Amino acid sequence: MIVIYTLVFPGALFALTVGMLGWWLERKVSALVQHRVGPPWYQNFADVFKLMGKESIVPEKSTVFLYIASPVAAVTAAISLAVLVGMPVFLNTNFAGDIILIIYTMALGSAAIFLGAAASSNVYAGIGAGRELKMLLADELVFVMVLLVPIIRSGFGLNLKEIIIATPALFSVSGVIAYVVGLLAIQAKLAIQPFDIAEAETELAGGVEIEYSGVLLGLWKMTKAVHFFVFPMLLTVLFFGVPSSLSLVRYLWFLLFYVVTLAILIVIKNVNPRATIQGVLGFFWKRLSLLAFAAVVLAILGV
Amino acid sequence: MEILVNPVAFLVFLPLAAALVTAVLPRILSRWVNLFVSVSLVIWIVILYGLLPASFELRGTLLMEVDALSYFGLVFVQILAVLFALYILKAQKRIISTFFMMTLAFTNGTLASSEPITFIAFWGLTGFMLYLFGIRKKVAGDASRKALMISGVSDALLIFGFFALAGTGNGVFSVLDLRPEMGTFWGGMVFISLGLAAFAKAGAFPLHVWVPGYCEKAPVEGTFTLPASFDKILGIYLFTRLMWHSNMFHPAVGVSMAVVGAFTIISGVMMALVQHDGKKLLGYHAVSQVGYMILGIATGNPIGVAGGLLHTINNATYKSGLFMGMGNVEQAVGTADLDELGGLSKRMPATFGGMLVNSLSISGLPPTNGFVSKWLVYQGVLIAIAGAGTTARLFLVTCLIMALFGSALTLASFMKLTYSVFLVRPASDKSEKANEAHWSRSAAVLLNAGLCLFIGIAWFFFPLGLIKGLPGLETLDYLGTYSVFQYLGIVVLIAVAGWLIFHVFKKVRVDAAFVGGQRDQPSFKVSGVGFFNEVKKMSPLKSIYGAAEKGLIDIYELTKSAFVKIPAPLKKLHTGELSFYSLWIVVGFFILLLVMM
Repeated sequence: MIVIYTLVFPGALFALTVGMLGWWLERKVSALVQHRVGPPWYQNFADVFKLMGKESIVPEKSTVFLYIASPVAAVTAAISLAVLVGMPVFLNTNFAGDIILIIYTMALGSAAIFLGAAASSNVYAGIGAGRELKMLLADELVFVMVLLVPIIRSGFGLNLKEIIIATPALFSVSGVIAYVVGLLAIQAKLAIQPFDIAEAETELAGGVEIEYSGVLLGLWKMTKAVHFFVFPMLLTVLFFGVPSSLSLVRYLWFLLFYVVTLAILIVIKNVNPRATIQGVLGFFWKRLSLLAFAAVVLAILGV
Repeated sequence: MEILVNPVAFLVFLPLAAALVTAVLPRILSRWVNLFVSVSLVIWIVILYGLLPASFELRGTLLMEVDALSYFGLVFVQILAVLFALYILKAQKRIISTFFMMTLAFTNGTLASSEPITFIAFWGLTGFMLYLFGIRKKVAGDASRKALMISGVSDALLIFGFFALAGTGNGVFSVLDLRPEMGTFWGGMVFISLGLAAFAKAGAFPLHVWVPGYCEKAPVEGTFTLPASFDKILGIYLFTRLMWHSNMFHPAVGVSMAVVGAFTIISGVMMALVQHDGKKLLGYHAVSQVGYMILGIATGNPIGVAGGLLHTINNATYKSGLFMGMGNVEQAVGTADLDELGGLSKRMPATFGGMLVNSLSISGLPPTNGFVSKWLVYQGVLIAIAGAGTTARLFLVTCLIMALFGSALTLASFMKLTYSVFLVRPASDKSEKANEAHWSRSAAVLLNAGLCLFIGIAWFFFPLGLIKGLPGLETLDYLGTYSVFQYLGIVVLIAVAGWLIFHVFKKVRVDAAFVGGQRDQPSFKVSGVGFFNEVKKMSPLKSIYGAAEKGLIDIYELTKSAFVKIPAPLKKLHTGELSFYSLWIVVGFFILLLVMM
């Protein structure tokens, strides 16, 4: 069974499909906002498929093993997340680990992205790598506090299955604050505007993935696609919850609020220019963290 | 004769005898004696398991006793000692081998002692070894003296605490059963002095100040043996013994200790983030990690205590591995300054691989051992929060946030280290032409990394099986789930699938890179040292870092300057004139008269 869970549903195949569609939605809406037609729904699939056939150029100064292993590790971390979050959501069962494991698997993904960039021995990738770390520092403080709110409200459990079928955290003041702050933290984790600092296409030409091409770039794209599925999904189920029985209503409920969360993220992306790194650090540490902490305190007080 | 045949005393006697032998044998033989003795002690400790509870009496006085907790500590001291002995096979000075065996003997002695005076003696001797290792290097003179002073403070607090404990009705007591009478003044004093003694040894806030400087300057053999591993085990051992009964007294005791733990985590890691010297960076992390141990044990519930204990030995493993790796780098390039390193991933692949795994372990990434112990500690804190009143909840939840965030900071700091040492382009000729360390030194680092992975996978059986032997920790109620085998199943399946995709579609060409339309130049590089300059320059962190650099947050420096400044006005009374001194005598006599009347 583990092979099916991991490679088909809710793992690799499913996560990639939904993720690419989610990413397409982002591209399409952004295009419409900018008065462009935008890509057809299958564009992301076509992009990755095309990359598979292209040549992978490895820079001669790079640390070759790490340069190749990092995208594999990143896609592994991303799909593991999809399994860890997807199993309780779609199959109503805890599998492999709890929310702490999810937090640390996310960190594993960040480490893989950093190491891939660092191994490519390119000046822009180096800048991107440093920024990737600073983004991790900026959003992690807020993100752990956001996660604590549903944990506290559901009675201090760590298993996702129990947290998501408890009363939705959003039915409380602390939940509303945490969800709003969480949206920004997820935006940063997805590295989309205004937080696409590590990739910064116009300044760093892709930053962390500048040297990558061919199948290895394809793996990075897959990672990004799965992130489009996993991160909004995690936020959605933690705050909107799901109906406790495993039925069609549960899937539709999830789909509805997943799209709502994704839509908000896309709107934020389209109305904001890229922030500076100092700006992001200050914004997350000095402002959002206070809000998030207030949410945690309110959750403790039962509000 | 009893010393020679007693199974517990043997743990001290054998390494001490080996220390004597290594001091006189030819160098080539003495190295191997170390390794042989360490391996024998591992076998011995396995045999000892069947003989528990074991004790050692000398002329009717019970000096040593090994129970489940001391056995747990002893097992990991012996295992790590094998790796250390392997590493110092190629030590440049023979005296290092002798010192190492002495340290091992004294550490074993401390863990096995039940009689307070014996415990104090061994505790003090391990502190003194710190100094002896340190002064092997001239540059480490000041740092070693500082370490010696603070170990002296630790010894003094320990002696005071034990005497106060004996004086407050306990009479003759065993170190295995510390029960300060909490709620009374002297009980509180006992708790505070023994707690601070443990903190000074383990390197927790506020007595951590000797650790970073010592790690930066002292020989690496001394660093990975004491501050990175054995000192942590000893400090946390005493702290656990102290908390065992005190914790039940009042929740505030546990909460205040948890706050100290969380503060240690954050202050240590924030300082580590901006360091330029690799060994000093590791030194600050050696402080930071103690916070997790204290936090876990302070929760007072079985799962938190188990997590704290597991973290102690996990930290001893990966931290010593990191110091060993940094020692290899320093030996190869001649410096541990991050500004002068780089490009070593190709030149020193074994050290790189070992240090990378150790770095991921200390950052708590699954499936390494660092993840498991942090996972247990977090559950302990959550259970404590669930059972506490509102005020205590607010404190504990803040501790939990700091601990979780501290882990991300640790990851960032170690990624910076990996980048600056191994991945960025070499900053100097020496770094470009460095060679891999001697096989014994790189093998020790790799074995250390292997141990991190092994404990990460087998944790439920070993060492948790040993921890569950402790009274009160037999059953652990988990709040979450973690199945390492299911997780590994997922990870391996996807990684293999990813690897297959790469192999099926790969058309790899290795070629020169182009940057900005021109061929890549060696000068096109970004130093990793400045990664966190934005953090350093941010208010209010900027002023805190500034104060730390000036030594204004260092309790040792503050005390030192107070010793200079406070008596300064008195110096004015010392004019050297006879008439002045006769005046003081008359005034003093007058005061005496007044008092007598």
